[in-house]
Amino acid sequence: MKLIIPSSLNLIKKTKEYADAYLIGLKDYSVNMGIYLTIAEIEKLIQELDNKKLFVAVNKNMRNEDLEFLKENLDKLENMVDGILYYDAAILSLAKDKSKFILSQEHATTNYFTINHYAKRGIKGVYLSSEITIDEIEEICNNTNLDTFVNVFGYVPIFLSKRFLVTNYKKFFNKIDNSKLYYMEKENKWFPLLETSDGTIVYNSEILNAYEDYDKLNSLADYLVFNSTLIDDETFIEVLKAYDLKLGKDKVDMLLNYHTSDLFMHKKTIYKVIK
Amino acid sequence: MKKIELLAPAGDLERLKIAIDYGADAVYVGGPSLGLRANAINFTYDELKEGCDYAHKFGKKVYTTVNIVLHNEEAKQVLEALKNIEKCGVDAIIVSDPYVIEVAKENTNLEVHLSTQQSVLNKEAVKFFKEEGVSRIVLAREAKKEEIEEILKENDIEIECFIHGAMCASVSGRCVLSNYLTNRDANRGGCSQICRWDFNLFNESKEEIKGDKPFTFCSKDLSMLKYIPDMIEMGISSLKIEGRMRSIYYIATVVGTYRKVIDSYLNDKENYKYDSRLELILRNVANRDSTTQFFNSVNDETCGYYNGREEISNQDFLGVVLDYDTDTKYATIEQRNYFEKGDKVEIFGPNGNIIDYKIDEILDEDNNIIDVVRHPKQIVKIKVLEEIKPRYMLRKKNNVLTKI
Repeated sequence: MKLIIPSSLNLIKKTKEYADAYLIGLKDYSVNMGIYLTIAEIEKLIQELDNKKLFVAVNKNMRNEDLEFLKENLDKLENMVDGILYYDAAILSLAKDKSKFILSQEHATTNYFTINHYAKRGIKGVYLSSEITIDEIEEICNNTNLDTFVNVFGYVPIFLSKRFLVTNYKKFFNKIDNSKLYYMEKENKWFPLLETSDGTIVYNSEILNAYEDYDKLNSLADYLVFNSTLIDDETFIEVLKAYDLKLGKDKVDMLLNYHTSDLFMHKKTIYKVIK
Repeated sequence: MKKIELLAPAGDLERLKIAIDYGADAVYVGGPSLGLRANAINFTYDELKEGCDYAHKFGKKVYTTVNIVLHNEEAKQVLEALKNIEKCGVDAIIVSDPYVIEVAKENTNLEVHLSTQQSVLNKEAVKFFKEEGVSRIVLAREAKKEEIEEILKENDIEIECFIHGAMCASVSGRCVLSNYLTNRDANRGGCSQICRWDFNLFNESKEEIKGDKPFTFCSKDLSMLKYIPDMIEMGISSLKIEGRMRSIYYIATVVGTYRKVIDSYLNDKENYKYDSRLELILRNVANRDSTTQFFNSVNDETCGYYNGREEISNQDFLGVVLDYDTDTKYATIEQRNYFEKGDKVEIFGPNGNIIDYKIDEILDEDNNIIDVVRHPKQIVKIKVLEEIKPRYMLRKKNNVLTKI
């Protein structure tokens, strides 16, 4: 199934023919999402979704002060949507019924042993990390009964901080700039950087395009995720079309000016440097 | 109140012994596999056993990190690794992946501490992991004082907090800059510290925002020296020093300084006075500015480190004592930085005393008189009238620090 992370409510309207499901953020309790809505707004959105599935990420690192709201609203949210993505163990602790919860620890959902550990706690699914290979994805999918979510297309968040890193830098050097989006550049690689009320998010400079592995991933995972964050609506819809109509990897790459990569699908990261 | 623990890092056996000698109540070390400092030297199982034996001889503890984010291939190795670690006699393992907790609980008697990699910041997450079977939680470095107090008030579990050392710019575990920029896996011990790199910063129109120094994520170090009495009174169980890859000089100095503060406070709470000169010792050994970071709810530009990587490695550390002959009064020294005849130095050891000393004579290994000691790890002898012991250290004399 295709799951879209929309960058606006308008994009939801424009992409319904391509999507089976959407993933959005809960205002003040989510990170790395395209839009963040209140519970009332989510309620309203569900009426307009034409029976598409809706998942909500409640995936920031929670502080004590966040817990009261979560205690009061998690059940309500759970009853409204098809699944809740969580990062912080507090969410699982607070959830009375865990059957709609999806483990989503961006960079830490990387093996089926841990996934099955959480399966015993009654969760519904797992959102796999982008830093594992397709072989690892295959091994995981073949060894768990949980629903699996896999990133296929879009900017990938690679850094999250509770610090306001651009604001701090501007203040320190008395620079004034009110941009909503920034870029940090190194060796002509441009990393998009956003500040939110919770801190700073950095995205990778290259956009994930797993076109060539799409069919295999489709046979393995339950939800294939297309993230529209930072991509204009028109281009994003063209990408969805290219995937649907099998127009080829190059078509997608071209739409994104070739700032694309299949990232770690076929490349293992190393961690022990041989000296 | 249970006596608070001072927990020190140890990248190898030598550093473990230094940490214990200089006042750590416990040390944490990396085992042969599955630890987050894959490129540190780390311990073999034999060394781990030797380290545990050494620590236990003094009533101290050893914790071993098993805190990488496991991929399938590593997850398959967990059981064997834990059984081997248990055989070495460690007092606890520090884990981040809940699967490791499960394996440890079902197959070993190992005590389990939850790593800061889980970024626990709230009382509900603490409750969750307590139910999972951990006996201690290392809180996220973003935790504020009031939050820690609330967590302690509502949970009967040991809480460990960082007190000194480098800070991740990110929420621990939520950074893979290293993976994407250098193909080294940050969460499996390969972090290449991209957060300390310089970048060019641009706005959304791609116009450069250029301060006097380049844009960086780099933050100042953490130093909680002044707030140790507060942390003790809050009921925190363990005070953790960061830095398994730091030098023996750093470990000796930082551990010794915190030991002094903890003991001074506990020995006489009513008359305890904070000695700000101790900050100079810590500042000198790290060559980096520090703050209390999130503890005091400060999260602004004062926490950033914008000096453009100007810090230089510490040259104060001159050598470590390998042996002392009580008959001849000659100390055998292993060189760590250049020194020469005529230099004024200080010799310090675990007891906190500092011996002022002028080097009048230097002998090489064959007892020939030499004037300079310029080779790394060169072995020389100097005469010291006051008795010293192995693992005492020589540093350049610093008038500000003398006689603290």
